[in-house]
Amino acid sequence: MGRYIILISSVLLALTLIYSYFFLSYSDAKMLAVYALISLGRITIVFAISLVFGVCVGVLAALNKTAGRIIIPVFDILQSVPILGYFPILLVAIIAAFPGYLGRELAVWILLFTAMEWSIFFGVVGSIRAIPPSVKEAASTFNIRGYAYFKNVILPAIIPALISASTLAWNDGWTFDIAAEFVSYNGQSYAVPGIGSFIANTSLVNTNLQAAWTGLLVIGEIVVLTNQAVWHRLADRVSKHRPIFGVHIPERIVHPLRTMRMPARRIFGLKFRVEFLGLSRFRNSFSTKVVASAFILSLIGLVVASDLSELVPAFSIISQTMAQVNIVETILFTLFTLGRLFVVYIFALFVSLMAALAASRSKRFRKIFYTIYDTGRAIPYLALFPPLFATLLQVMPGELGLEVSSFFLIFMGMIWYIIYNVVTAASYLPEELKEVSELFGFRGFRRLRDIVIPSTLPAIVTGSILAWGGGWNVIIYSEYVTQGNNVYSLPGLGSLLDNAAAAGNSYLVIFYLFIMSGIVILLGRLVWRRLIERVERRGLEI
Amino acid sequence: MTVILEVQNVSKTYRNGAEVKALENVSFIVNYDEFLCIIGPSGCGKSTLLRIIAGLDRPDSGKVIFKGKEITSPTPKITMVFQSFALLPWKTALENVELPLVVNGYTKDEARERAMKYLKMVHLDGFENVYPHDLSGGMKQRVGLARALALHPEILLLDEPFSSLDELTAKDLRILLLKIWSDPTLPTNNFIMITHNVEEAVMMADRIIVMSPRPGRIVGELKVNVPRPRFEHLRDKEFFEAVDKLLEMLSISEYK
Ligand SMILES: Nc1ncnc2c1ncn2[C@@H]1O[C@H](COP(=O)(O)OP(=O)(O)OP(=O)(O)O)[C@@H](O)[C@H]1O
Ligand SMILES: [Mg+2]
Repeated sequence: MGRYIILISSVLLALTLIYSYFFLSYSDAKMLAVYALISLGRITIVFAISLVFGVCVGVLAALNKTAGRIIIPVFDILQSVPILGYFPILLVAIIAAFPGYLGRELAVWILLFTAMEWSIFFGVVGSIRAIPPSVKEAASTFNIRGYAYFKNVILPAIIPALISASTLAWNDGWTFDIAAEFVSYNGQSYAVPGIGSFIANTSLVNTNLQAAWTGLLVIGEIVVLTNQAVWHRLADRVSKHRPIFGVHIPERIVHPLRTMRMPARRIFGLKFRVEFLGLSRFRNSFSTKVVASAFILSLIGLVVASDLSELVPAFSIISQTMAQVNIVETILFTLFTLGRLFVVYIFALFVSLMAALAASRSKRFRKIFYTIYDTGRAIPYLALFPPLFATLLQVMPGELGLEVSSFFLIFMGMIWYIIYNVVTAASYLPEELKEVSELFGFRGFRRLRDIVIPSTLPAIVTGSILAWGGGWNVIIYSEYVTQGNNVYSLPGLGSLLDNAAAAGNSYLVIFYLFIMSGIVILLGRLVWRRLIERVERRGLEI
Repeated sequence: MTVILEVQNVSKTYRNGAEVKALENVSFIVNYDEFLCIIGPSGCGKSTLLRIIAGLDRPDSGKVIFKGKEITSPTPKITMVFQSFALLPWKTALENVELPLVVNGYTKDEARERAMKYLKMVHLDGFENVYPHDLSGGMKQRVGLARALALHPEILLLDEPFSSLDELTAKDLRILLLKIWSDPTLPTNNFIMITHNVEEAVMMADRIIVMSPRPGRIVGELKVNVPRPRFEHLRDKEFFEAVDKLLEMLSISEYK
């Protein structure tokens, strides 16, 4: 099976490249293969850096208590900031420090690094923490320490998680590639050569839809090919080994911090899930994290934006910035964005619950689900946005086209987190509970309400928090777009932020990022926290 | 008609990865009002057999006839008590008993009344609003019992119901179970219980079916003639004879 996929995707890739070389009527099309190679190289190098960094720092953070106490919260903050929001500011700062091509390339690397690093780091930390105490005790009884301990206990424990995390990171790298390679800020667009900027150029600057879709096709084929040839292969090889500690190997990992729960869930079953969700307490509650992230962000922003030389008193900056803000508009647009996210979220949740319902009854569905998930999760949806929008523009008015593309993009940014968590939880429902619901005739809505939703509630909460995080990132990318000489924007917080960025107004960008963080805090306090507490209070012990 | 349930030539092989032959040509009957025990070594297919009787699984060949009709899917006439209790952790004791009743068409009030009655019968009055999390193992199994009985099934299936409990709790529950079985006012009079505890089987059953190691086949049958109530006859010669006979059948089946 895997071999066929590799064969077919390589043939398709070759055909697409040949087609682009000989038949595309676009001046730059002959360079497509080169661009693809450049992006591939870029992502590979940054990935390698993330991997090495993630393993070293992750092992340190997991084994050394003091280091862990500092590193984990800091990384936790960093990973919760919507990267696309602060990227333009970061880009300008870096270009100021390293003018020319070097600066641009460096900024791209940093964005890609932030897109890839967290899954790897938290995958490593999570899998080391999941080593059962009995194994550690056994190791010390038999005097296994130092390098032998690393080689025989730590390494086998992190490798499966590392493979899943790497798969995620690799796919995230491709997803964010386009946003990194092509950025508009202060009326200027910054691009580095690569397939992402090729797609952005052909969709938004010199409109050539055929070339844009061809570029997207090439990205898709590369992703499928590399996933199949590298990651799935490695994952297969690992799971052919005897399971470690008699544990099923987690082929997939949810996302950063929550990875910690994955192996545990598989080791002990449902029982341990909630206890591990209790880790959310250790990670100093959702809201403090966001407050801190907003604070750090504003610091970075203030330093960067004040040009370092003329450190304007903070107060006057704030009052100047506030003077430019239309409060009513901000509130209204915030509500629009919230509504947009909410509608898509409900839709994604509905789809996920239906899938969970199916997974709770049918083994066959569970089998095909992970194939669908793997494929869907690998779609670099940000790259899909420019060609999709440019194409819709041909058949409908710009704002409507943007709204439709936004919907689709948010959906792609949200669905995989929720559906993966919820379906996995539903599949790991204890066999007896499935039997009970069959025996006593729980069907349809009843089964959904009384069995599936309560049993997957922790997964629903986790998936939802992650999905909203993904949603905020997408909003920044999808509410505002420049196509040719026209600017299209949707009423919303994302477009306010992008407008400020387009005008080169860093303070305003930071202000809107503040608002976003504030909303995230509120949502965390009012919704997610309460849900988590409710789940924890109940306890899920069978 | 004295036969309520008939298992005819049931075979079952699991095919996911390695082939596991769980049951081979299993046939037996269950008479009205009988307490039947099934005993056999671990992994011989006892649970598989019970799940097939409950309609949770289909045999590869053969069939199960309940009152003249073949069983193909779960029915409220046959319910089950699980070794691991299998309560819904997000529902209280009362809700756990109530829910199957509501699902099967009883009104809210009827369901509540019936659930209260059965919780009382298993001596859990006062614990209606407690979540499974806060109940002891024995209490959880009492809820499981109440849940299964409240639907007024004609056959109650029990899959090693006491093997995850400590011996004292198990003893209490055995006595309770026998009381329920012999209570003429209750509509459930047929019990099929799986166990791998020889004394337990002799203490409870009218008749014991002995299974061989995998693939599970029936290798013997024993009618228990110890007079009831059995816990007054635990020191009788007949009791020990029955235990010895059973042990012998089990050890022969080991070497077949
Ligand atoms: N869903 C399944 N898929 C594959 N094999 C199974 C499945 N269920 C049971 N088996 C296998 O079938 C055999 C019989 O299983 P079963 O659970 O019926 O045995 P049992 O007699 O109840 O054992 P125990 O005393 O341990 O409860 C076992 O070898 C088991 O591994
Ligand atoms: Mg069993």
